Amino acid sequence: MTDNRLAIVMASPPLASFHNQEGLELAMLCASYGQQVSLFFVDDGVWQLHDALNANQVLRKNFTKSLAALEFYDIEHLYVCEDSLAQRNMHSLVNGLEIQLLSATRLSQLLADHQQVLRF
Amino acid sequence: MLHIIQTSPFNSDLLARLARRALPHDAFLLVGDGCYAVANPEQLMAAIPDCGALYMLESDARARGLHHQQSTVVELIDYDRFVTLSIEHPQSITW
Repeated sequence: MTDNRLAIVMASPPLASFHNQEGLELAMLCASYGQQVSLFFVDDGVWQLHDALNANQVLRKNFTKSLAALEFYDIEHLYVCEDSLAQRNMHSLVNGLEIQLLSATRLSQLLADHQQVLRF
Repeated sequence: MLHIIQTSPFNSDLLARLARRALPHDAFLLVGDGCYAVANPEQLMAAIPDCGALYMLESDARARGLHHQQSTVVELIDYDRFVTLSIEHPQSITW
């Protein structure tokens, strides 16, 4: 399976749509079948990692908690685009996640190492 | 005119389009993903006329962790005020 890595790219803002939640669910599903999955947070997808996100306020499930479960699915490759963070003046990320900050260029290079790319 | 901004201004030219359509004394209301606009106050204020009023729906801002963004002159409002704003302005346009 090492030649068949799946990249899930989170590019939509959370709460207003279910895109991020679906991306996350697909990541966990694929990983539970033994596929190597990496998660990339880019553009408005980085809002998912905001430390003060409070989905209950708009009657949505707080699925930031699911992010903490990723390691139990052996999803250990989490990346966030630092250019996207800077653009949005985001300085603090949700606690307890091992997530690598990458420049836009480095992120694109890494993405090119994956055989399948799905954007949410 | 009440401009209701409900989509994220990042990754689109939303604010530039808004600036072209806005008149002095128009009102601007951030709801949903539109609340993300306060994360970059300079960009937001550049799009809005100096004498325009700026509001943000508090529950949507809180959900996104943006309610304590103090850097802009934005008035947090509830749904009741949203309704009165809609009545006060004969027209509204959603972005």
